Amino acid sequence: MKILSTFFLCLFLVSSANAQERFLTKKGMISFFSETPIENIEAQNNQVLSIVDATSGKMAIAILMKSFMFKKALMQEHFNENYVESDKYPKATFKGDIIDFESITTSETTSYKRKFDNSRKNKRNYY
Amino acid sequence: MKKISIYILIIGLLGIFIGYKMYNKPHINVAKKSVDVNITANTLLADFSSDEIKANSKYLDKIIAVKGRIANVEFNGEKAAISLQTEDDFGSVVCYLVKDEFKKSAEIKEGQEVILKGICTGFLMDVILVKCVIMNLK
Repeated sequence: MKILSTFFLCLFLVSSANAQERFLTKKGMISFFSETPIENIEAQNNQVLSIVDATSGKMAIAILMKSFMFKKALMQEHFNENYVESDKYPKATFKGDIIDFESITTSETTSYKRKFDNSRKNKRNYY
Repeated sequence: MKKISIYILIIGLLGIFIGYKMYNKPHINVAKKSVDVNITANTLLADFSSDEIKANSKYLDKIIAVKGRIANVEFNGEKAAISLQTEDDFGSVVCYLVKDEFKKSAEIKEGQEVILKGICTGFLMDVILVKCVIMNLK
């Protein structure tokens, strides 16, 4: 679970407009980075689906665990087999509310740092 | 005594060598791997949208050769993705190419029929294939 929260800390989202008040992208990117004395643990995932509701501030993210690409094949294997068990849990989902959503008023393209209230649900899918 | 220490040294060096080899294990070379599943883009997407759990167990981590017409090609330096046409309005099959395949970008265009070989990582509105190579173009 700790690793999941790390993902969302390093979350970058590119949103493309959609009709209605929902913004959706299939091209989000999630990466994580961790430094150890021996080597850096780093991976990138370009297969991220994310939806933001522009009226309520609710958002949802889904990622494919097997899409994390590491430099080292062995590291990727360990990540998938020993740590996230991506055979058992191929998909991770995150649902939450953007805290203080009303204060975002501008329509210009700006990046925001926002905390998420993920108390509603935060789970791995048992597929 | 001297003999034993030489043996230990040899075993130790061998251990280091094997360890180093394992640590630097190369990524799967999709181009050289044999295909596990031959399928069309339509059937692949239909399988995933009808029963994702079943489709996951059938296709995840497998080398899949998917046949379809190109709906859209997207190149941006680091990434290249080809989405394939399907009968479904919302989903498609999206194939992310390996870097070596980028040079073929000039040869591919929308509407063209291609066979792409890649590793299936799952379903997020679209079926995702990574490390793809284009099979019917040299």
